[in-house]
Parts: sequence; C-alpha cells; structure tokens
Amino acid sequence: MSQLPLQPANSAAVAAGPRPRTRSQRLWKLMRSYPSMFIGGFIVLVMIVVAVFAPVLAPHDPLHQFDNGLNQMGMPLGPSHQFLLGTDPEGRDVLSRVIFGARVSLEVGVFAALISLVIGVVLGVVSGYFGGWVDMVIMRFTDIILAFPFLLFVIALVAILQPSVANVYIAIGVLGWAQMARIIRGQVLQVKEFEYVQAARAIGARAGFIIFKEILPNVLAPVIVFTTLNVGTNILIESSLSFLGIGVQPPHPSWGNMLQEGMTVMQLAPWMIYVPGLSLLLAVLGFNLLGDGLRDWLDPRVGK
Amino acid sequence: MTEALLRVSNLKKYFPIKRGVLRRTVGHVRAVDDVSFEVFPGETLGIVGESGCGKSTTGRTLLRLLEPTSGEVWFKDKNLSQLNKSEMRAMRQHLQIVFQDPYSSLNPRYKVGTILSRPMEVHGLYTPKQRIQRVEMMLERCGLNPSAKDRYPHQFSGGQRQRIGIARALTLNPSVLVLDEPVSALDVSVQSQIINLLEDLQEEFKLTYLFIAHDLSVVHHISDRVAVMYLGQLAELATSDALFSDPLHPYTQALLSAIPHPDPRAKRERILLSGDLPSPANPPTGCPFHTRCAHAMDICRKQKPVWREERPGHFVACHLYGSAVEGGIPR
Repeated sequence: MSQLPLQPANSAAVAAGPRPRTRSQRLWKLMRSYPSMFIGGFIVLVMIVVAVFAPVLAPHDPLHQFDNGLNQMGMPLGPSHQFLLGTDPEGRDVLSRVIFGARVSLEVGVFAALISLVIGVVLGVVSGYFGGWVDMVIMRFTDIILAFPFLLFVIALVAILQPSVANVYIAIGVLGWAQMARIIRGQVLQVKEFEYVQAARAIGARAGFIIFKEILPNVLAPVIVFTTLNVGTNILIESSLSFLGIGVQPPHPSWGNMLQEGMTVMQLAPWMIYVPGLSLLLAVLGFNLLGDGLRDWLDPRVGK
Repeated sequence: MTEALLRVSNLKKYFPIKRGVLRRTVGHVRAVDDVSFEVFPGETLGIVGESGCGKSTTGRTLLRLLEPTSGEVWFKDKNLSQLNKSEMRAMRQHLQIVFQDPYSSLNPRYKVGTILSRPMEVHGLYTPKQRIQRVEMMLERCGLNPSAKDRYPHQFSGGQRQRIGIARALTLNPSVLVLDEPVSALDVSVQSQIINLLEDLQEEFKLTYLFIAHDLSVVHHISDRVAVMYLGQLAELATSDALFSDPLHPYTQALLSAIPHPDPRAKRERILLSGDLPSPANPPTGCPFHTRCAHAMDICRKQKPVWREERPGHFVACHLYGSAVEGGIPR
C-alpha cells in the first residue's frame, strides 16, 4: 500500500486494488496467488505429454540392445550424441527407457487413484449418509485396511494376481481407498446437516438423488485434491514394487526397475540411477504441488 | 367447527443418549413428549417456547424429517405415520417446510432457478418449460425479480434468500406449510416484510401455516391460535387473542410478562422465573414446570396435569384449573 492518505471517495477501489479485467489478467493473478498449483500443473502436463507421445519423443526403441551400446569391457556407455543419457548394462538407450517409464508411472498412478476414488467415494458416502451400523461396519473395515503395512499388503496382492502393469494398479487402487473413504465420510457428515439437504428430503427426493445432486457437488473439492495427491503417492508405490521386482517386469522399462538395474553399476554408471531417480522425484513433486495448490485454491479454509 | 386439516396425536420423539465403547443407550432426550393438537384449514397455528423446548423437533417430526418415536399425524384422512417411504415422498407435495437459516437452506452450487424447479422435477410435475414459467411466477409472487433464477444464492441478502426458500416451498402447491422460525435469523425491518409476504401468500394460495417461533410479538401478530410448549410438552393452547390477553398457565404468564412494553412508564408486573430449564433427558416428575412455578403444589410434583379444555377452545395443562383448586390462580 502506498504512503498517501486514502481518499474516502476511492478508498474501496484502492483497497481492492485494480480489478483484473481481461482473461489473461485474471489468469496472471491466479498464478501469482497460487504458484504451487501452476508449477505442479506444469510438471504434470509435461509428464502427460511425454507419456502420451513417448513413441514420437523417444530417440530409440527402449527394448533394443544396441551392438555399440557397451564398451569393450562390456560396461554401459556415458552420455553421447547417439545416447543422450547413456546406456544401461544391456546396451539399451536410457533416455528412451525413461520416456517409456513415464507411461507406466502415469498409467499406474492415475488408474490406481481412479479405482481408489470410486471405492472410497462410494463407501465414504454410504457410511456418512446412512450412518448407524452401516457406518460402523464400513469404518471398522477401513481401520483394518489402514492397520496393515500398505506396501506389504500390495506386494501380497500383486503376488497373487501375477505381476503386470494392470495388476499393479488394481492392487494399489483396491487397497488405497481407505483414507479417501474417511475424508469423504467426514465431509458428508458435515454437509448432511445443512438445511438444504433437509429441504431436499422435505421435497420428497430419494436418497440417491440427495447424495448425487445435493451432497456430492459440495464435497468435490477435497475429492479432487486428495486424488491428485494420491496419484503422486501411487507413482512412488509403483516404483517401489518394480524396484523390488514385483511390479513391471524386465525388459519393459519402469523407473523402479531401472533404479534397481542401475544400482549394481552405480559406481561406474551413475546416470543409470540419476535419470530415473530425478524423473521420479519430479513427477511426485509435481503431483504434490498441484494437489496442495488445488487445496489452497478450492478450499481456502485449510492450508496457508 | 370445520374438519381439522392436520391432526397430531400423542406425538413423541425421543433421542437416545449413547455412552461408552459399546454405544449402549443409557437414556433418552424427550424432545417431544406426548404432544397433541389440531390445525384447521386456512389458519395459522403458532408454536412458541424457549429454545430447546422441542418446537422445531415437533415441526420436523410431523413432516417425518425425523421419524417419530410414537404417535400419529393425520393429514386429511391419511395417517402419515403409517405411510411407507414412497407414499410419504408423494405426500410431501402437500406438506412443505421453510427453514430458519436462509444461508444454509439453499445449496450454494446451484442457481436459484435450478433450486426452485427441483421440487417439481422430483415429483415429475409439469414440462420443463412450464417449470421455468412457474419458477418465474413464484419468484415474482415472493417479491423477487424473475431474473433472479439465473443467479446463485450467495448473490442475495438474507431476506431475499428467505423469499427464495418460501418460493421453493410453494412451487409444489402445498396446503400446509411448516414455518420453522422463518424470520428469527433476519433483521427486524426485514422480518416484517417477510411476515407480510407470508400473510399475503396465505390468502392467495389458501395456505395453512404451522408457525414455529420464539418471538412472541411476531407470533401474536400472525397466528390465529397459539400453542405454548415447555420441555417437550404443550402447556397451553388458545386463540391468539385469548392467550395473550388472558393466559392461564403460569408459564405462559411468565413468558408474556417478558415482552417489552412500548410505554416505559406502564405499570406492569414481571414474573421472573428462577432456575434453569430442566434437562429433557431427565425431566421432573409430575408437571414439567413445577421446578420453576410460583404456584407449585404437592400434586404438581407427583402427578402430570391433564390436558383439558378450561374454556371453549382454550386448553391448558395445569393443576390450578379444574377440580384441584377452585377459582384458579389470583392475578
């Protein structure tokens, strides 16, 4: 604020600052208010583009073992013109593998989050809206799920289902809904007490109508935020699984199994762990920033 | 006398109190404890009482927004307490409610037009085009510009939002409207506008009101008959004029003496109640009011007073009347 004494006539205008008029001005204001949302959003967007256009962007076939991909001693090559980020112990192009690895990470992260979303929302809403013994049963079940070490549980389930990309996201999704269900239940309990929900009942609306039309639109913000954060977490879990050898199976690339392969030659070929490791860091950071920013934007009461 | 439109008999609503790990029921809050009254077509029945006396619960229980513990509610020749869920949903067309808080009673996610056409949509009434026309008509009748339908609830003031709430209740053409403290959240100047609007609408649409409030002067103004509630039970019920000019129950007398008088020099006796409202989880034996009543007798502590018609149309539940004591209380 300026040092000038405020003129009474325009003090309101001064206090509020110039009102953003055009669309780009509004966008600029939003970006300045919630920078983490845009930084996170940018990272996520880059990752999506890379994943979708992987076949176009990757310079080589990620599975092809190049004859000139290893040196005379059979060790991976460092970054060069042909292999921008070097090669791995099998003589494959690391850059291409990282690009295709983004596909796996995104696929698992997003689909697992969607499965968790559906299960969590359904159980949370039913639990919160109907209450009573239904609520009791669902919440105790949720407690049981949360009491198990999550990664161990997922490992067990993947082992039963056979390791594959689809089974990995099914396992993560099917087991990862518990927190979502709790969040939704809490929100529904709160919204349920508002008089507009009572009004809908007084009108004669059915439970399904009330849930979908009156309650769900008002609990959407935390759902979006939590799902976004969940994608990041799921990407990390997928990498852990692949690192442990029960996620994506070699030779197919995933950031997790690339890290594992790189670990053995860490001293000689550090790029083998830096590249997938940094990609993983950036991806998770991106989703977390986006989720946090969305929370600040959609629900100003929490955070900040 | 004409046939009653709404008959409430022995309505009870107990809320269980649950304690401990096993959530065992250790007692009940008797929010509404054996309440009976009738509402006649076209009249306004006011229900007054201090907060926590169960007046709102009565309104919600008779609409089955809360399931009654026991008792019956008859609307015309239908027993509402016997209807199954879908029959009750259909019946809700005829019985509508206006809520106290105009801020939480409208869903912030929808435009006013959507909110107002919802009831008709739910009941499958009219074509979409007719619904819009009806929404516009209702907004106009309730003193709002029809263009309000394209705006969101947060763009309106408290009084305007209450008008929207009233319009929503009326879109289904109900015959009974439960008004649950419709003006107590509003400024005094806005209160009178809403009261006038309610009176106009009652005449135009031949509505029957159940007006729940704690503001005595408002209730006196709008009601034909008034019921006084205390601790979940009815204390007195009479025509508005009879009740306000000649209250019988000591509780009603105390309530009325609390109304500020416009003339500061007017000589009047204020009856000050001592003590707090007893807990409805553990109500006093006998007459619920005996702990605070200046005229309490032995019998009041032991026996619950019967609900009797002391004068034509003037009901009271008090041992001071009838056979127990001759001549009533000295005033």
